[in-house]
Amino acid sequence: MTKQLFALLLTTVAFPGLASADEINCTASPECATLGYTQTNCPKGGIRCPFDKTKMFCVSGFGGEDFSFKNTIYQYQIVFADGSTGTYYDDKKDPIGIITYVHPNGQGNHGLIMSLDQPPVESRAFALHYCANYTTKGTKVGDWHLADIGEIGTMQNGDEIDNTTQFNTINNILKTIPGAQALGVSFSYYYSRKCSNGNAYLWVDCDTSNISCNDSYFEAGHSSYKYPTEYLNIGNYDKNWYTQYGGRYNNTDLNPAPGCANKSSDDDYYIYGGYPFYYSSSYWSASDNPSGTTPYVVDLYQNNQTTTSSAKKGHFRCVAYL
Amino acid sequence: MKTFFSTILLSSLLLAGSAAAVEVGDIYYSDKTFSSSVQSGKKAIGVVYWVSTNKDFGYIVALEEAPSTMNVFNANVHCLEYYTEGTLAGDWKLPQRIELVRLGKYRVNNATVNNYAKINAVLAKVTKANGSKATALGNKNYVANSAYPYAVNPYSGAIGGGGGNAQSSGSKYSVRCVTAF
Repeated sequence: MTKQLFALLLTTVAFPGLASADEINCTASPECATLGYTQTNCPKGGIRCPFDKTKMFCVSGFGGEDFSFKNTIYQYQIVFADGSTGTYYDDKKDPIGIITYVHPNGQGNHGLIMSLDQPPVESRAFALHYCANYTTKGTKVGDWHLADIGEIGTMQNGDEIDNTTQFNTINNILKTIPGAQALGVSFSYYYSRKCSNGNAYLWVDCDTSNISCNDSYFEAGHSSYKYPTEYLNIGNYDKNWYTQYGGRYNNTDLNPAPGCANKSSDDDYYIYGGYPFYYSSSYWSASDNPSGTTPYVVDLYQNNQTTTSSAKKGHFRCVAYL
Repeated sequence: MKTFFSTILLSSLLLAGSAAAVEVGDIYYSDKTFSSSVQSGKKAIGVVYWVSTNKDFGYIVALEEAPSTMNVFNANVHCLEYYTEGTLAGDWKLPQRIELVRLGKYRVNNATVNNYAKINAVLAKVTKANGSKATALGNKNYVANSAYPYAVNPYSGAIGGGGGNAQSSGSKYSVRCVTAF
């Protein structure tokens, strides 16, 4: 901040009168953006770039530097803490998010940043609080919030008329960023060998020992299933995991789920090949149904949305529209 | 030295001033300027319906809507071809869901924002460049640029839609183009 202010002072004050014409001719005019003049409007006051009066450096009480993009941004670029963006991960910079939406003013200077962190499933109230206090290097508390339905929608398949692959596109980018966590992660659910009431398999959460086959189950042939009611899931479950991780119950490559081995009311709790067996891409939004108080939730993969009780636990993602 | 720099900095700030903040409900003119009230001699082309926290960027809704309901495919084409005095085809767009949900009534984190009444109050006193009255937002579903497609009723804030994005789709919705600053 001090360094940048000093540069701003030099460029603002020194150039107009202190240097001779010859000296000025020998000096290439710096780009305003590289000097920190990245805004066009500063409601709380700012300094105009001497080389381009339309560019400004916004000042907000000198208590900290506002995040701003340092270059033209594009959808699906990685955002770094210094305000730069790029198509690829740069190990010399600190990544803080991915641009899922570019503000359509034609300047590419504002957009929606999706955080790289995928917190564990939680209540909607927790999600609101978590994101209101979320911060990263280069940003501050207040920059981030729980995505509203329009914002979380930018991560959802089919959010644009000619694009139905947002979910996979974003996850493929997240894979290239060390420490970034995928959208739509699995719950810590496994399955048991059988249900005593005849339903094929019981969804099992090792932390929820009182769950029963009447609460949640699935059949191998997908003809019947019931989601665990404590978790948010408005989409159809992804059948890919089923075929990917075994296709059906069999006795090979089955191991007791960690921490569940002693819970044998419905045989042992098992995982197939070490993978959790339950997947959801349903996310909380900060938006409520305007005619009531039930929050909107969206399924990013299956392009569903609805309203539901905030008592459940669900995925959520923090965003910053900067 | 510290005082010297402080003085310079203060002078710079005072000289620079701050550009006027744009507010929801401001009128957008063909010369790319904004005002909070109708200015004679200027031609209105839109109304600001959302601004960022720092009020330095936002969305503008057109003063008129498509002459008939359309499916999302044709609505997208309509808005890409839409223009006004001072703007060209391509300057406007069919709003994406993130843009459309902010147009009317919406509720975020237990706080209701009712832009429907606010925007319509402005539209009621604005005339278009051709001298005719601006068109109010209606209690009906406007389509978003989306494959499903999503549609939003700005009066109630309800989100619905459906029908797909094919050119032949028979699911038709009202259409309002937007632009941004």
